[in-house]
Amino acid sequence: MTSGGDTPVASTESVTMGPIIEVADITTTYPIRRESGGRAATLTAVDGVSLAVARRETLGLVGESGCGKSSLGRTIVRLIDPASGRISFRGEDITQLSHRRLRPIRRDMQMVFQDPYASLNPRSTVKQILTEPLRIHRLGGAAPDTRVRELLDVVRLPTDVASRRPHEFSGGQRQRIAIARALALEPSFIVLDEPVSALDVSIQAQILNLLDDLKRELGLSYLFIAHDLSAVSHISDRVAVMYLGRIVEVGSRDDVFLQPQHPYTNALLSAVPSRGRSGPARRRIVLHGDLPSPLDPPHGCRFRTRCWRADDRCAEVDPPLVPSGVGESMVACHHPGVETAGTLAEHGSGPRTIGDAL
Amino acid sequence: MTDSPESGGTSPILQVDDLVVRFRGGGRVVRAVNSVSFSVYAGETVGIVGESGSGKTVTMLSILGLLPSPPAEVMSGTARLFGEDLLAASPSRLRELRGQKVAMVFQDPMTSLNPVIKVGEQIREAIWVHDRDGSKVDHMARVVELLDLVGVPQPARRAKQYPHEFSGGMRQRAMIAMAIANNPVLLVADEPTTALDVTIQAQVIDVLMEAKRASGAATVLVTHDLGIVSEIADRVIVMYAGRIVEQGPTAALFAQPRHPYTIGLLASLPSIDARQSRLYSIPGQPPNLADVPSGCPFRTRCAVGRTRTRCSTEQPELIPVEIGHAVACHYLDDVAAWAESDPFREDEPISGAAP
Repeated sequence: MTSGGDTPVASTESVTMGPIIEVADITTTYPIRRESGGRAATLTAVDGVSLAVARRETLGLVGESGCGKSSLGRTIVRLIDPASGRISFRGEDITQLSHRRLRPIRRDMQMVFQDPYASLNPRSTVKQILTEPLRIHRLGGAAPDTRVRELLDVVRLPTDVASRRPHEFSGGQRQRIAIARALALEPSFIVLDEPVSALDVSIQAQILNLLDDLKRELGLSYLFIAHDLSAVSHISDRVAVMYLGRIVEVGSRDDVFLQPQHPYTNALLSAVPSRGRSGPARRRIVLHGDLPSPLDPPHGCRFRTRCWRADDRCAEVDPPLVPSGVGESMVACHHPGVETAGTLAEHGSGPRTIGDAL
Repeated sequence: MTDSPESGGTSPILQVDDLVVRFRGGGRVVRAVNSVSFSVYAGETVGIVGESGSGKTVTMLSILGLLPSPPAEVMSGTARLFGEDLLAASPSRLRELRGQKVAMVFQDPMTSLNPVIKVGEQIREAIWVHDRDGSKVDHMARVVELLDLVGVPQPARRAKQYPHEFSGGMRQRAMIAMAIANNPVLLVADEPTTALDVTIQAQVIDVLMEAKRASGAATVLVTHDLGIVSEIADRVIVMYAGRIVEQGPTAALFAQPRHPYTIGLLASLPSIDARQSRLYSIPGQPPNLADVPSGCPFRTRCAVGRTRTRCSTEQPELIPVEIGHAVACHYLDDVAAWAESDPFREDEPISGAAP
């Protein structure tokens, strides 16, 4: 479960204690109004997803915009209510809990958002931002100042910034404040939704390292949502790949990145520039077309309209998520396999390159 | 590629010398671009990389006369396109050159396309502006040809659609079609893929490179994405705090970066090919451009120069280290020794909030 992880304790615990959070067959929908005619329609953002995050594990969730990854993250912590399915936190079913009964559980699961400019109240001081969760949960305690200093210390910010306001900080420092706020209630599970996407490269590394340290020091579990595969690859123990509301592949970081089975995973990985590092150049798979509308997903396999392996069966039978034979990996594909230059040539209508397009 | 600076003999398409750009406002002077000089040769792709506020975009916008003044002010410098100084050109002359000899592709195709005019009409207008005697039928045929070239399916039908009917990737293709409509000699692409998803990025980069091949334009790619630069640029210019700190052939610069900033930046990138236990992170923040440190602007974050007097008193010049590879650093040998010592482990404390 934690291949490549450096805490062997984590894997034993994760086996013996069960996952910190588990969702089964979750569906998240949004009612929307179509422009023409104004007839109501339903957009299914998350469509029957099952996932588990083990204790002290980081599960990376990757996919492109509109694939439903943020909706899934918000549904898991019940910021959005699922249309169907079940969410268990520490083994307790929280799907139907009222907001009042959810409150003590919310303490234990927190969220950090992409944009620290939008997620911090510009009129509050850092101290107010960090003590607000304590106030809401009536955990004021005797010495809020001490707690604020502790939290700033944990995210490696100087403790004398408590009286400043968000605009006085850079993007990376704001994200540290947002992380400190998430830590204020000592959660065990945090959903990180694109936490480094808005930051510059040199600052991204600082935040990724901080998140890694905090996970180790505080024994946290993360759901790390991102579109940036290299960030996900760096921080994750396991990785789930999402396409049009479904998980198409999930497995250990090494299995998914080194032996990707789903054609979409293969295409995503091939699109990551190799950054001039040594080693064989990846052959880039250029997918044709855009993401289909989640309002009207293709029948059968949802990826088939952009897939070079698709045949008649893919149009008829929706492939279930099943063990792929690689480690613990699961894949939802009728034709799984690692794409190589050789296998690319075999497909008559192989992935399009720009040469073909012209 | 063929006319790279190493081959000598050819003169550059674009030659920028000693460009200085400032912004004034609110009683502050922001020194956005400081003594920047570089050349672009026919047919090559030059990547200008840097983080937000490094001056990479301001450099190109000021050359193209696209910065509002005030608050922007070009203090000094020349930018010669085939010998003609763009910084001294009249607004009407600049309008003539833009869209014809020089074309641009911006980050956000939604804001660069007019939402109430059909995509094909917008491209046709770009052609008509520089060919007012041509027939509408010919221009429309060219529009369809261009959309086809950039891989827009059913180009004749799509030309009649509005921008909102295009996806982000398709809009960026349309922008590229418009940019190459008049066969420019220089194509400036500013973060052309930043707003797009990974698989669409790959499509757009391929289209951009094909457009470059088809039009023969030299390309300047302004981006924060070192990955894209490493794949498509022939040469790379690294900017920090409004200055060029390193430039060189892409392969050499990525294989052996010399400036401590470039070294740190490359080391801080997570890789999907190798598992690092810890990322290197450059300590601190980029400087506030209204208050840049004296001497070398990188010294406050530099492991080698932080405590050295020369780094705080003397601005290092770009010095050639190999053919075509130049670095602005006083202590190259010490930096090389530092990089060898595997410094990429310590996460240094973050000092102070940004001013």
